[in-house]
Amino acid sequence: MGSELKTHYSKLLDVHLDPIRVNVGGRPVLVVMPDVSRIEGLSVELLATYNRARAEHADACLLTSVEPSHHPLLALEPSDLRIVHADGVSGAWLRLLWRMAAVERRAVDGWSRASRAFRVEWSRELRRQGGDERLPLELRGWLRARARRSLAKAAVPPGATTRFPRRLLRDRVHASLPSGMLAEASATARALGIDPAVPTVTVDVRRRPDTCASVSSWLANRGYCVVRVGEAPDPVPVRATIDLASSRQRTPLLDLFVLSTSRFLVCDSLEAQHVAYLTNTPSLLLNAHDPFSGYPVRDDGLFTLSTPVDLDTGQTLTPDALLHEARLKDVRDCGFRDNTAAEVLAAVQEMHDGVTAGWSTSPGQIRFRDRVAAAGEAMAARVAAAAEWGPDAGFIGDGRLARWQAEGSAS
Amino acid sequence: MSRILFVMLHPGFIRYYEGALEGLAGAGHEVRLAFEVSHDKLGANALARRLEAASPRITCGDAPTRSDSVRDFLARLDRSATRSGLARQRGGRREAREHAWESLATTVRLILDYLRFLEPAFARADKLRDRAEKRLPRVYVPVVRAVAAAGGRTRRAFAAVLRAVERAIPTSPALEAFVRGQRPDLLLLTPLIELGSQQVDYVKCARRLGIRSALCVASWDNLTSKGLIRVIPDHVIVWNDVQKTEAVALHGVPPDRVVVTGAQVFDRWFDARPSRSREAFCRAVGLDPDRPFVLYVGSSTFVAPDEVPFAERWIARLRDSGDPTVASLGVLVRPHPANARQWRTLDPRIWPNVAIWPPIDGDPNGPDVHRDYFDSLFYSSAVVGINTSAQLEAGIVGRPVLTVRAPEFAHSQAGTLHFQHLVSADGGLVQAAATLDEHVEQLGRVVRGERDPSEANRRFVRSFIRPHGEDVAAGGVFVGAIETLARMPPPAPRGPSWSTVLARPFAYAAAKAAGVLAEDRPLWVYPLRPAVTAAVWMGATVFWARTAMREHVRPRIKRLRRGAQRARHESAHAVEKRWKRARRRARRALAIANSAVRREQP
Repeated sequence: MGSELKTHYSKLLDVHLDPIRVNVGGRPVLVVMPDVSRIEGLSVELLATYNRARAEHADACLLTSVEPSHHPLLALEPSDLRIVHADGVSGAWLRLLWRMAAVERRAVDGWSRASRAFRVEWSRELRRQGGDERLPLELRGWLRARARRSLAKAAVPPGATTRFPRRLLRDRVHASLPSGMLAEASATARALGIDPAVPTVTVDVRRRPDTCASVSSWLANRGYCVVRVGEAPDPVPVRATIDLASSRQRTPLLDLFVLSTSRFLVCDSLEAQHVAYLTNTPSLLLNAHDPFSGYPVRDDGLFTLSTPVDLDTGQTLTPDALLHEARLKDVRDCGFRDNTAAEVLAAVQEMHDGVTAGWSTSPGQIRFRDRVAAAGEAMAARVAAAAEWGPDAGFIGDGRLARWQAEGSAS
Repeated sequence: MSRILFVMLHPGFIRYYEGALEGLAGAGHEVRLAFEVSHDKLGANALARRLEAASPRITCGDAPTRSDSVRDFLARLDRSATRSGLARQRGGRREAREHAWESLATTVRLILDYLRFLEPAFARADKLRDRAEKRLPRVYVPVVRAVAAAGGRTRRAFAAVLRAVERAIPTSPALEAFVRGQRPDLLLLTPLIELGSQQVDYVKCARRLGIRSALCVASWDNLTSKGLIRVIPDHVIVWNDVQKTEAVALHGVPPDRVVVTGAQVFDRWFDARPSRSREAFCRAVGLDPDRPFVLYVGSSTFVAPDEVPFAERWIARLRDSGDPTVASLGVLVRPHPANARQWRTLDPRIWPNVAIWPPIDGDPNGPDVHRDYFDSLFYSSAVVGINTSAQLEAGIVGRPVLTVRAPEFAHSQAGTLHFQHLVSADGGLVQAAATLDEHVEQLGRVVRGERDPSEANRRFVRSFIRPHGEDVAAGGVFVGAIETLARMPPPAPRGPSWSTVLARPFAYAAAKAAGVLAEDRPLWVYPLRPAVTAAVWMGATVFWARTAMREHVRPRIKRLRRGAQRARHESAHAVEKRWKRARRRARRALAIANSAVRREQP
């Protein structure tokens, strides 16, 4: 466990590059080259681009080396947005423009990285020189002060990190797979026993799949077909599920098809939650380790936090403890206890109620959302995790913390 | 009676040799323990105090302090640290020279250790290789990788060059004086194979002074998961023939120098008896005495940094099992003493009949620890763990031992050679399952008594723990071996060869460079440094000149100026006085003259 909460959004994208805007045939087009090798960031990148293009009344163009038909996420076609296919001369021209923009951004990034590295080394060198006891005391003090200044200048201000674009993910993009792929995935799903007439719930829980056993039974009793997807640490079949995780016929297309046709998703990873934003599937994220990164953007999203435990005393802490700056900056003394099967079941029941009967937000959930947003705003300038995953211009998300946890936290 | 000097990395190693050391002292030998690092991790210093109290023939103390210990060396590697090393070492030239040699020695040893993990035998040991790589200054990493990629012959040639450099590094005079002052008949060392270990210097000292030396291999993973024995001592004392093969094949130790004694650390388990009834034990730990229980033994931080989720999954799988024997099994979790904190996140109350024992904040060296541990092994129906020596102890106590090959622990199971001893040596002590389902099936069989592990355990114990016979205590064999070695005539002192002496000036240049490169700074820093240093010293000169001006020259100028002012003032005053006096005289003379004129006029 690192000394700071994971802040990996900026790492998902090698060089975060906003789309470039060009005119093609008199129409504005937002051009982006998503990194398809990093599946984790791809869904956010696509969704943000589509929503930005829609807001700017532009078309979108994806420059990839992969044929959309070979990558299910790229194959998703938004119904209310025109996707420009970059091929031939125009494609080459757009690629050239993109590369020039990327070179420029890389040069700027490279320069600022190099300058930061230089300042750090300069600081270390000054400190090293300041350690020479033969030098006059005042001069050594002066060298140390200069070293501190240089180091302070080298630090990346938390506010300068790439922010998770919450607002751009808020609006839905209605996208569907091309009919050929849809037919293929549908046929495979049917062959594996997934009946299109039966409502499906997708479960992508990798860390503690055992906690979903009672959930499966509960959902099955309510007429759901539970499908387990994702990379499983061990092939543990959960009762009343169709286990695609250990199936040889599992493909990324099948996973996406199941997810897009599901009533909702139960997952324990941000990546799965982000793909659910793209497919407009309501999602329940389990065992988030901090209140910012997992906070659901959409109003049909729910999440639960792992129970923080003080590793020195063994005392369990409330979720509010994770909103304190000291805890976010240094998590070495903080462990996390995963949600129990009963807690997961309570969250799934709330999810089911929300999806079937409409969402209601309790006062405790509203208070927790407000506290997260306020804490995120307050800490954005000092804590990288809050700057990166925190509120996007005051917006943390329309989703909510599971009621059992929010009410417990409020009390 | 012999004098034995036993150099240990830290007092924690006492627990591997406690009984044997008492045996040596009991046989009348003087035993001096010297610790390179004196820390109280897990209360290890209490062990040293206990041992000293047990016999007046055992004394404990610190080994000489190094001018550049491996810890200091590694601290300098930390690029993220905002604190840097001193520009100039304290002390005189001699210290600076020693510092440079030690930097070179640590660098060479770390390179050799890293190179080792690039051998084909360690192809799957990614985590071990990463650990060795992280300790090495980054500037060397691409070089070593390129050498390793060039093939076995290049690798061997490179290793030979590094060994030649190691030979050229002189021993520390302080260390020599320490060893000479102890006048030992036998020098023992453990563990010697830590990454970059400086204990090699003791072997070199012993060789130079004509003292017999021996490495005591402390544990079953030592020869495969850590560094190399870079300078071979006169003898290597190992547990069993498997380790003998490792010492010969992986470390290049001549077979005639290897002494097989057995694992003395486990002797206590052979004679131990439970301290209370099963019912009393179960009640004490919080388990149902009417149900059999399985003991889960936790692993170290390196093996299982995040073990709790697996343990939770495992317990849940047992509870969820269709086999009623397994589903109703009690579960007792015993955290690894050095990796206990993470277990605070496990809440055993969510399952019936699950407990953690001993308590996480308990003293790992407390008087009842072994007793409680033995009781938990003895009364368990089976023992499950990832990869830990507790599995060996369970085998000695005669319990079935099981493991699951979990993907998150692949680095410490398939990725280590010593795990293979558990699952394959002499038929294997541990039943390894590929999946939790298979594991539950195996567990059900052993709990129901359908599979008797006693023969497999006995076979393993005979070959791995007590190779001289199941009834022959390894501690006694160890003491006998030490006595024999101590009685042997000392080897002739061996000074450095002429080629080594000739190579030393070049090696010293390399030592200076190694000292600088150990800072692990980007290469552009080094050419810039003379300019920065010159600027700093110019600044210091200006500073000194200013200070000298302020403290010495300025007051003198001030004094001079004041003197001048005073002189001017005084001289002006005197002139004025004289002038006034002259004027008065003149006036008086004029007045006299006037009155004279007036008198002469009628």
